[in-house]
This record gives sequence, C-alpha cells and structure tokens, in this order.
Amino acid sequence: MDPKKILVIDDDIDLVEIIRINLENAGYSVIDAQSGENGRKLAINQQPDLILLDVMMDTIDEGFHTAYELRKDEKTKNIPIVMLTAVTQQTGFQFDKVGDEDFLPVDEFIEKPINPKKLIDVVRSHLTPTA
Amino acid sequence: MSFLDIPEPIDEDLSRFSSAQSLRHRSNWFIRLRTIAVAVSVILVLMAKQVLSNLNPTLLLLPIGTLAFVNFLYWFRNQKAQLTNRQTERSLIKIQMLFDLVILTVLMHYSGGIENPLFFIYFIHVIIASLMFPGKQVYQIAFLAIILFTGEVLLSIDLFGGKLALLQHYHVLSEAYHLHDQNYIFMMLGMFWFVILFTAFIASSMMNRYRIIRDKLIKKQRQLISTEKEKIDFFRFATHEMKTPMVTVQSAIDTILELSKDSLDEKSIDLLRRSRGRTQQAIDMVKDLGDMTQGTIPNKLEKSKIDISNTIRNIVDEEMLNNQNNLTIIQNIPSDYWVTTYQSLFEKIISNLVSNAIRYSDDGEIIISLIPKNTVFEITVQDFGIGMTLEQQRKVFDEFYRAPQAKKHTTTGTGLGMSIVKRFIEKMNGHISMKSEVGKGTTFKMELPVNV
Repeated sequence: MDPKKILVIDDDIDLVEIIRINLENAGYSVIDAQSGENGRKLAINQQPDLILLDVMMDTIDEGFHTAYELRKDEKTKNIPIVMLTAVTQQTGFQFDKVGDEDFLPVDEFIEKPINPKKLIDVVRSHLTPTA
Repeated sequence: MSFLDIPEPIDEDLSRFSSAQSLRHRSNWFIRLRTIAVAVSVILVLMAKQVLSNLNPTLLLLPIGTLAFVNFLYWFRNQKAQLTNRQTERSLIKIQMLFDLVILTVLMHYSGGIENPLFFIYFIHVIIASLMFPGKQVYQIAFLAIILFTGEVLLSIDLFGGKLALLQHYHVLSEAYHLHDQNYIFMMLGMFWFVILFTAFIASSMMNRYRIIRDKLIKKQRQLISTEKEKIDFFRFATHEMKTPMVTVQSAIDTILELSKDSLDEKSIDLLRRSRGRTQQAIDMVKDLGDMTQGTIPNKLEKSKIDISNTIRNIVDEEMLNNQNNLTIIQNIPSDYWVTTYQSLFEKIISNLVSNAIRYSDDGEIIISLIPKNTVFEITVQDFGIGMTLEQQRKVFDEFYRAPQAKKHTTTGTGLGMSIVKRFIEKMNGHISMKSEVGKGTTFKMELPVNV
C-alpha cells in the first residue's frame, strides 16, 4: 500500500522540515508549500490525504482564508485539514475578519510548539485506514 | 495604571460638547429654565398686584402665557424632531432667545419700563447666550437687548418734548418724579448699555477660554489613546515575533528527543532537556505578556453569563495534566454557580492561581473553595507548598518578581502570573488577599462581583 500523503502548508521552512522528519519517520509521505496559494494548487493536483495548515503566514489569517478556499473547491473539500496555531492567537489576536466564528472549516487544531507524539496522534486519527 | 493600560476616554459629555446632541441637551436645559421663569413671573405678578395698585395683571399675564405656550412648542419639537446638524440646533436656540427678549421687553413695558428694576434679567440673557454660543455671537444678543430696552424707554417716556413718545407709559409707582428728568434717563440708559456690553465681554471671553482649553484637552486625549493603541499593537506584534523562532527551536528539540534519543549520550540529552526548559520559559513569557495586554483595550472585553463551577473544574483538570507530582486537588465548589463576568479574564485568573499552587507544592493537597455571597463570590486557593516570607508576600504582585526559593524550586514561571491575576481582578472590581508562611504553604483569597 502506498504511504499516505500529507501536505504541509507553512512559510517557516524549518518547521516544515521538523514536521516532515516526524511524519516520514511515522511512515507518511510529505509534500509542502510555503504559501496558501501554492498549497491550494498542490492540494488540487496531488490530492493529499490530509493537510496541515499554518494559520499565520503572510497575513495574520492567511491560513483561515486558505481553509475556506479549500473547502469551497470540489476537488479539495473532503480532505481533512488540521490547523497549526500559535498560542498568541488564542490570547491576543482576534480573527475579526474571518467571518462566521461558529463555522471554522478545519477538523482540528494543533498548538505550536509541535509535540511529535501529539502530531502523529492527531494525524493518525484523521486518516481512516481504508481511504 | 501601568504602561499597558489605555486611559478611559474623558467625560463623554465633554467630548460631545459642541455636537448637535449637546446643543439639543442645552436647549432642553434652557426650556426647563424658561418654565421656571414663567412660573416665577406669574407668582411675582400676583404678589406685585397686592403692593402696586397701578399694575394691570392681565396685560402681564398675556405675554407670560404666550411665552409658556411657545415654550411648550419648543419642548414638543425637541421631543419629536430628529437631531439635525449643529447649525440648525444653534439657530433654533437663537430664535428662542430673541423671542424671550421680545417678551421680556413687553413685560417691562407693561410694568413700568425703566421704573422696573427687573431690567437686570437682560443681563441673565446675555450670560446664558455666552454659554450657548461660541465667539462673538453673544454680542448679537447684547445689542438686541440694548435696542429693545432703549426703544421701549425712548418710545414711552416724554423725552425731547414728547416727540418720540408713541407708546403709553405704564406707571407702577404713583409718583415718579425722576422720570421727568432727561439726564436721569440718559444716565440710566448709558449705564445699561455699558453693563450689558461689559457682561457680554467678560462672559464670552471666559467661555471662549474654557472652550479652547477643553478642545485642546479632547485633542490631546484622542492622540494619547491612539498612540497607546499603536504601542500595544506593536508590543503584541513584537512578542509574537519573538515567539516564532522559539516555537521552531522547541519543536526541533522535541523531535530530536523523540526520534534520536537512542543515538544520543546522557549528557547531550540532559543539555537538550535543559535547553527545552529555557525555550519553554521564553514562550511562557510571551504568553504572559500577551495576556497582560488583554483587557487593556476598551470595548474589546465581552461579558457573558457562565457557570464558573464548571470553568474551575475544567481548568483544574487541564492543569493536573501537566502535573508530575503526587498531588490531590480538593474542590469545595457548588455543583453549578452562574455569574456574569469576563470569561477570558476569569479563566486566566483561575489557571494562574491553580498552576502556581501546583508549581510550588510537591505532594499533598491543594484546596480550592468557592463561596457564594450576596453580590460577590469568594474563591480561595490553598496550597501546602514552599510558602513565602512577609517581605516576599509584599512583592508577590509585582511584575517579574520571583522569590528566591521559588526560583530554586522550579525554573518555569515568569514572575508575571500574579501581577496578571491582580490586574484582572481589579479590572473586574474585585480584590485579592493572601496568607503565607515559609514551609507551610500559601492561601490566596479573592472576591469578585457576581455581575461585573
């Protein structure tokens, strides 16, 4: 069976590498993009099994916008999205611009710093064995 | 007030002073004043009738009645009409003031004109006008008062051989010899002009000075608030930027510890663990600094009705996850207890108190109690940990303060937690006190309002 493919979208290349090492070690294959726009293109073309998406890239809520775009597109709307957040986002910054607060188009949040065990647990839980 | 607090806007009334709304407000005040004036005039007329036999009350009550009716119309208009612009409101007040002066002159005419000492009411009008209108507009009212009163005198007293006396003079005193003295009349009028203009000058220059100072104050205040906001935004951005590299470093250390543990020697692993502790400290610091800016921006905080029993239980569960000691937390709290509060601040207060209690205890117990009182509730968090000396207790709420034995006990902790707790409790109009003894433990007791 082919390894499950995971798309990591984050503009911090070091963090992408860290995530890649952890995921590859756990038997997944990793592709990555450094912006929401490239990530979306990659998601459409490569059809990953899961997307890890950073909230704050060029703008404070680029990740959220990317998530909305991914959910709107027929080709990507069923791919699970796990969002990477920094704690500051919960305490300080507000996502006023994001719109409907009750509906966040992601499946789960992982808080940075990345805890390797937690990362693998969350990824595994969103990948159904038969898919 | 510390460097992170934005000053509350000064008195709302003050900052709206020259707006249409404030003019409407003053117009209403003026209408109430006029109502009182009408009532007082009626009483005065009825009383004067007893003393002055020449007085004809009907001639006086008619204009007073007219004023009362017109005043009612003003009132009605203010109740019904939408707020328009400043200019319209101001013009309406001016029209009212002109009509008041006309009515006053009619009353003066029927009650003896220059014989009547009540001409000082013209001065009151000039003073009110200076309160209502900025700049030189008060002189318009002053000149109108001069024209009306002088006109009344010239047209009703036999001056210049009676050529000008087109109106009848109503005597209130039976004998008024001085009225036949032309010099007396001119002296009186001269004094009247002078005092009216002088009053207008004094009152308007005082009011204008006041307005200049007020406008400067409002401008400065606005500048201050916007600078403070920029500062806080910058501060938040800077702390976040500091955190980003820390997060990456810590993620890397965690990954190495997790995946390459077996190929590393004890010493390297220990070094990595300690480095991880230092990055954690930096991240905690950023988190706490971020917390401190919460509640500093007006209108950003939201109240909500929450079950704080549940909130406390959840926070305790979460804090216990990180606890590696053999600790028991006893919770003496009602099954549910609803209050209206700032949820985010309340959660921060409790999680700081609980995590401190855990951090500075080794084994044993921590007791958390919630006691509802009438309009407030009391929460105590008691630990049996390392405790503090009196000297240290005095400093415990200071920013960045950590007691020496606390530093020895654990490297985590930023020294900001308790200052955040105190800041938030004060924001919610509550207060906090403490009891502590070295080696025996610490109790924090706080009281918060049921409805912030």
